[in-house]
Amino acid sequence: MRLRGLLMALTVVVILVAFAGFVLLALWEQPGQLPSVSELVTYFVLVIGLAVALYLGFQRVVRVFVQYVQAFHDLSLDEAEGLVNRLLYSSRHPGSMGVLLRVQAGQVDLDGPAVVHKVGGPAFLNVDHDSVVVTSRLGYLHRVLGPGGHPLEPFERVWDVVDLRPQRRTVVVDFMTRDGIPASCQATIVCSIAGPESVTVGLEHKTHNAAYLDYADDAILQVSTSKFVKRVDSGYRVNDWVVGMSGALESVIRDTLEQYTLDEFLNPQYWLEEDEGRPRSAAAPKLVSELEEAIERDIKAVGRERGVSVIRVEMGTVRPAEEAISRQWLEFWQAKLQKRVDRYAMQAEVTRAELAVFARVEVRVDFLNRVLERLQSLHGQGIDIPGELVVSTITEVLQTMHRRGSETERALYPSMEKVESLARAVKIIQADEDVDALDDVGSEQAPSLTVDED
Amino acid sequence: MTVVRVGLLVIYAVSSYVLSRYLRDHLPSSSHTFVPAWMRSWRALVWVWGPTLWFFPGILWIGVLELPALQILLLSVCLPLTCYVVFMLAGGLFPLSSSASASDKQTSIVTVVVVALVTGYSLLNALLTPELSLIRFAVFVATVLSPPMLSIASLLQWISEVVPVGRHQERPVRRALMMLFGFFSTFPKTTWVVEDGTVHTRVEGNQFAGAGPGWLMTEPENTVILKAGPKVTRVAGPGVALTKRAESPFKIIDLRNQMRTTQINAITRDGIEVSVSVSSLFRVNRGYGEIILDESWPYRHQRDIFGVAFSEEVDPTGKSPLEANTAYPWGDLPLQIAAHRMEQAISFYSLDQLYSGITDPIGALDEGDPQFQLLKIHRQVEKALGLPRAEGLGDPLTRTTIGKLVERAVRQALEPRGFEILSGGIGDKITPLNQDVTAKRVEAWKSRFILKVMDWQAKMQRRRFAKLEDLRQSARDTMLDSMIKEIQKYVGAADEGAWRDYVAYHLLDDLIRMARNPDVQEMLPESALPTLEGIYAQVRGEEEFQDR
Repeated sequence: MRLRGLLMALTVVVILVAFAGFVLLALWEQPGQLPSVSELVTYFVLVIGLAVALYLGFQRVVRVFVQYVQAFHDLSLDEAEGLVNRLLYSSRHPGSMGVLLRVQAGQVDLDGPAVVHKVGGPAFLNVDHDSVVVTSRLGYLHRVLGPGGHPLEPFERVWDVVDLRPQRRTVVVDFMTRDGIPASCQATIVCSIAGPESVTVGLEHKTHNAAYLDYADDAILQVSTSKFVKRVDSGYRVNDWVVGMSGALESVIRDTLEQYTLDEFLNPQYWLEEDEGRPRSAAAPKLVSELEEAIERDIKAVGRERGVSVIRVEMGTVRPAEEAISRQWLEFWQAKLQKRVDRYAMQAEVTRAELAVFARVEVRVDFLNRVLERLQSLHGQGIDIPGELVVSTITEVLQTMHRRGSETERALYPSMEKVESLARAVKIIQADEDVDALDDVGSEQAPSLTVDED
Repeated sequence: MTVVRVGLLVIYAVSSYVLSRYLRDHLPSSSHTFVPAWMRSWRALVWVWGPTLWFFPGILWIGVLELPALQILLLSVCLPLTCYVVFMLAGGLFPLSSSASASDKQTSIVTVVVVALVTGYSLLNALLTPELSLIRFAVFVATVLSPPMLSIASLLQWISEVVPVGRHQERPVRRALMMLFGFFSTFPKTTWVVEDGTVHTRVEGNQFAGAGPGWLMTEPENTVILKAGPKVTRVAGPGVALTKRAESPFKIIDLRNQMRTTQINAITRDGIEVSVSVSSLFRVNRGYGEIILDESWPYRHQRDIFGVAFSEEVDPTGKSPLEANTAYPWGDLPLQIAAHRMEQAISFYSLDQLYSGITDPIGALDEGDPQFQLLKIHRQVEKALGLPRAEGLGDPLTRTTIGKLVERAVRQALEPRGFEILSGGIGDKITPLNQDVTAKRVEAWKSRFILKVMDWQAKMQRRRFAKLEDLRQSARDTMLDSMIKEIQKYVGAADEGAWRDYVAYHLLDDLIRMARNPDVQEMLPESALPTLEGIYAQVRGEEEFQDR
């Protein structure tokens, strides 16, 4: 275009020079004759008149273009003049464009020249290191422009901007467990445009290495053109590729988690058994890390189909939505706490039991001392002690102690039953009853002072 | 005369400047009265080149050229005019085509011939003037013709840069010229641009001329159905399209992927009302086409575009009388079909089945398998939705299977109408509408949970009791065993009197054992145990004596 403009200007100059020469010849056909002042003025008037006419003829065309462009693209007069000038005279040099549009951080500078947004080039497009631009020209997708400076062709517009930086989105996935309990899980996806090694579609694998943010043209075109138009209340909204990946992640997580019951995610009983070193009767809950691995694998496959590289997926824990569940777990936790309290109580009981044993020993010593007190004097005098006396002495001591209270009895005999059976036995002996009666006692409960081993 | 000439030059410069400044802020407006086609061309000519005051360079030659002033004036006007007319004739800017009316054709021809005759006559007359210097005349003619020639050359040079007529157009320069001159004829060609999915009229066509011919440009992702009067003519775009006479945009079809979601209420077979999120992903059928740079956004066939556009349905339900006849957009159709199919499908399942699934697709084929029933229901739904039998219906989630079945039903209904169904189904969790249902399920879970905990506690308790009981039993057995042995030992005694000593002996034995207890022994006098043993020996001796 620049060349054409130069040619046009050259043509005008040539016409003018030629015309000046021919007018000279036409006015002074006789060589050697000097022109008068009047003739010189006429000469210059004719030449200037032609120059003005040429300028007006040329300028009128430009003005016609300006007026047409102004109406055609709905521009202001200044914008239209600028556009026509660029269309007619600009070269590919940034300086000659006069209009610069910046693209950075994944978006076009909205404060940039309106005419470039509306009509497009010629203009100079400056794409920052973190962005890639897809352009359109007259209803066709035209080029994929990576980081750097690019002259935009006439009517070439920015159609889409793709951010090369890794994108992170966090979603809360609501789902129903297999046993019908509403639950949720928070997850994060980090993804970016697929590099050349990840692209599996397309014919041409034109790749670039823009500093550390690598990309493939095919992947850019794919993510740009695979957006979904969604109807919302106020009209339509276009979901970009990151929203698409978040949606895919949500779907994969829901499809995975809904295959399990709530207890398979969170099972306090299992961990209680684990803590107490008991054999595990409860099912082992699913570890989030295991699920995360499977989900990441699935979402990476989805990403490959869409020209997106999934860098990582992070999952939080599964939380039941219902308050009742949490309350139940609280109750379980309370029960666990109660168990500890019970353990303390049992320990106190043991201490008490130990004291009781000690008391029992004391009572026994007292009992033995009393029996010995009575029998020792006779034995010391060398008198033979008959069995009958032994029995009556013991019975007497027992009766004496019996009057002291139930504690003594319990200390000596584990149960009153035994005391009673012993008393009956003594009575039998004293009354010299029939041997058969003793058989009955023996069969019922052997008279014994045997105490618990403890 | 020289002064007059200089004055004319000044007037020329000043008047052209003033005219240019004036016209700079005044765009041609559409005529409010009917103007015949032949006259529009002349209007355009005057609007485009009139402000150049093309006759001025010629009249500067009055007094220089050996011709009368009037003749010079006539030549100054007619020669450039002829030049412009020839250019416009060549460019098809006069209504001489077959589509033009006969009167327009005739009048155009007459006017052009008149100009040609006047110019021819003037030229001839001048050339026949005997005192005319031919070289001066030649320079004069060059002076008069070079500005229009330059202007025309510039126009031809740049018109295609300024007026985009798109690719694949025949005679693009001529078409661009028609657009440009149409604009300046006060009967402009209508210009439409599709932006953000809606048609914007950039240059309004004249009301007398009707819609087309005109110029239309879409975004890369849109295509437009054109209509001429009541007749649907063709699909234009994506890209730039020149419309024919009477053609105007009727409907824009977005070729991008579309997504629609809605929430519906359905009832399970056990009477539970559930809320289900239905989603549908679709687009105009792309066939095997791929999106490639510098190529049109693909669609399979023009028939698909028409199919999609004319599938729009009118439903006055819930609309005001004014909007009652408005059709729902074509993009709503997949979801509407999906919603009803979804309701039908869900009515086959119980609530529990909605949350279950087939974890073992092969095992589910066995009638004895509990999953067989679910697979059977899937088959019933498939049949009820009028779908051909598919190979596998065993998804781990019933929700997924229902989604796939509904997607197939929607595909079956809409693919013949130009839709390409990409996916669809249930986009979110299935939630019972009544909160009590969820509360009950939670209660059920609680019961199961408590039962499990109780089971576990009871198991532990049972184990402890069993162990304790074992120990007790063992102790009891040992004690009874020793007692029985002891008693049996003495039961054989012959003497009845021995029974007294028997009790005493045992009582003493117990006392000794008690005294031997280390805790007790510690607290007894040292003589206690020997004394007890002595008495024990004595009683035992008597017993032995009595035995003997």
